[in-house]
Amino acid sequence: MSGHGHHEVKEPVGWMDKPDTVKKLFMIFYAICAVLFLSEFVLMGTENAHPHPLEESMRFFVYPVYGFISFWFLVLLARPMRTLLIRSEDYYEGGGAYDPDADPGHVSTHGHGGGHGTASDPGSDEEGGA
Amino acid sequence: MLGSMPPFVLFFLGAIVVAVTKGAVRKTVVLGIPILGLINLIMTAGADVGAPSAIGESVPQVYLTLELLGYELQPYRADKLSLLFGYLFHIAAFLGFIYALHLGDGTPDGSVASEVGEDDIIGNEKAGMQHVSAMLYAGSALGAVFAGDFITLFVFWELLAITSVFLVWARKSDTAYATGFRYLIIHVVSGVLLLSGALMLAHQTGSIEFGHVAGELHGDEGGGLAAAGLPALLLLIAFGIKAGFPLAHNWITEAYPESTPTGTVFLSAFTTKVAVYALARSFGGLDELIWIGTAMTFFPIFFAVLENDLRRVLGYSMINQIGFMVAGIGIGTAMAVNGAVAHAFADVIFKGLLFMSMGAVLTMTGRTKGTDLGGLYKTMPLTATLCIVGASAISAFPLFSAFVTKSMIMVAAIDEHHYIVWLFMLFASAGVLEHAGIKIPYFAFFAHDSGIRTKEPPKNMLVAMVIGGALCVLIGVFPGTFYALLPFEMDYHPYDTRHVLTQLQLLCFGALGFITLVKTGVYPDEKRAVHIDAEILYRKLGPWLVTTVGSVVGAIDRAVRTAVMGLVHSALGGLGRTHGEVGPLARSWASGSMVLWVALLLAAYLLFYLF
Repeated sequence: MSGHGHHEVKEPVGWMDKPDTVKKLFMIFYAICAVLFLSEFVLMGTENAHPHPLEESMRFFVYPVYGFISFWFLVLLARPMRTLLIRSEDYYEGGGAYDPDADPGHVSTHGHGGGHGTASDPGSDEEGGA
Repeated sequence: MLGSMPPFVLFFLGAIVVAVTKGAVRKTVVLGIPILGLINLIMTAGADVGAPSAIGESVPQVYLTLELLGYELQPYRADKLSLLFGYLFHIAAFLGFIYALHLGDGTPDGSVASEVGEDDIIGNEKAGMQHVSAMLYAGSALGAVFAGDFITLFVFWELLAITSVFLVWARKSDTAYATGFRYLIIHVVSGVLLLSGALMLAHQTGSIEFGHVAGELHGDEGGGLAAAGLPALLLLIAFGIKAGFPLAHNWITEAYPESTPTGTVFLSAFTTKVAVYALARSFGGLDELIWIGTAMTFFPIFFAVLENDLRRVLGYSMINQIGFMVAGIGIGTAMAVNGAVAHAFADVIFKGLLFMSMGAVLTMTGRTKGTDLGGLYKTMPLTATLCIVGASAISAFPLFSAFVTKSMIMVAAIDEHHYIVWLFMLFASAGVLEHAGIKIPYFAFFAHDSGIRTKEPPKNMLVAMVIGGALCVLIGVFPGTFYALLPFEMDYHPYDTRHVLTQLQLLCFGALGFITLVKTGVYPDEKRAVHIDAEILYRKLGPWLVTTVGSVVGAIDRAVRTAVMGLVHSALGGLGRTHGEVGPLARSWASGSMVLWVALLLAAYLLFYLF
């Protein structure tokens, strides 16, 4: 990433630039998820002082399933919503429809990864790793 | 003198001093006033107030009364509910002023905001104006929560709008001016509705007391909005506009991203929380609020997924969090209302922290859009860490503040058998993790490296964020101490195995969902675009309607005018032909012809007479 000679300042290298570190963090997060999944057996032994009908009918893995599905539901509904509602940035100043060709996407002053960006590296899932 | 002064007075006097001072003196004053105010508040009312009268436990203390047109005004009344917000607003003002302390000191060292033409993003030229405005704004918020009657409340309600709009205008851009005017109009309308409702209520009941107006608290069968009538409805809409009810919510998502980095921190602390306080005082237990609140938790999270401007994402997040509070107030039990106001308290701190971290990014880079940012953890590691603390707090991770506040509302929903509402809230909790817990820190500090190389923000900003972060953790770790400040008695312990584990399951598997969404490419990219929201009603539809109706009315008007003018012209033409200079009726006749005509008439008369 620091292969551009015209950069005189020394480029800082973060932990996200090291694939091994990112991979390790992912493994830690997956391990936490596995432990939490298994903790369902601990929950079986605890009393639920405020039971919800969903918990009573589904009984196991209510929260992991609900959390996971919620994220997918949220995004799967947001996508068609975008198709319907998206407009150009100057829409309220007289602009019109959104033109994907005019959108440069993620802009980098750094010289790499320009063009249409995607959230391609979820290695920073800091919440899960916390 | 301390110990009996209405809290707002100190801030208003402080604003005058701030207006005429500069440099170190001004800095001392802006930090000193909230500290003095807090001491004043503790001395005045710390010991002898009880729960609000609405719950039927004890009567609030009135410290100051005035007489106006036969009505008794109470500019300073306190009970546990108002005190909680009083403490909160002093803390928020203190943190806000620490955060804004560098205003007027020039461009912060290492800022690259000039790269994008945002040379003075923090509004150095308007430093004095921002401080005065923030001081008056904090004072107005305190005036509103300690108001004992609707007239006093109205005065501070309007002052909240008038004083805070300068924090938007301090940005000095054309967009900020336009946004500020819309903000002002919306809030002034809210104030007018409040005054109308209050006057109608006074006419009906003979009282202007700022108390419960929609029937009794939870369990009262005769209550509800319909029974309370038009005055209550007007008051509810007035409060609702400031609280960001659906369709009235866009002032939040418009004004917050347009203000200066420091201004937004103040904006996010006061106005909406005053509205939550007003709802808790006047509409506790109103069933309609449960569903309004639930809607507020639900719809903004979809916009937050799509939005590119990270401070606007936080604006949507604000509506989502207020939704929990409004629903809690609607449920109306002691635990639910405690949960609502406790969550308001926690929200000011963690949302303040998140706005501070985004403000720091804006100050140092001149940018807050997801498409422009990324990789800042390399050069702003402390800001990134503090942002993650705020993100963890809002996401309700155990040991952080929202874990001990939001859960009260959710437990109250189950206890009162609002099962569907609970399902929505649980979904919204996952949504909070998505947009505020993951998206904000991820797109600003991680994701793609934007190549922006800057530095940590000025020290005062970091100090404010550290204190905010510490409070998020302290509330989360020592909930018992915090609960003692809440207005109603209750027995609730947030830390049990089930609550901790289920919450972690929800959040971690939600995050796992995020990872799968990104890895499969389903997660939507950030786009340089806007997404239509209710603001289209007044930003597009309203002007379009005025233009269209105007042109139709204009066309009709022109047609009618042309037709009438045509008639007038033809009438005048006709008259002109007969009575004009050469018209037969205006012609001068010779006397000979007159004699001839007389002779003819006489002859005719003679003929008629004879036959």
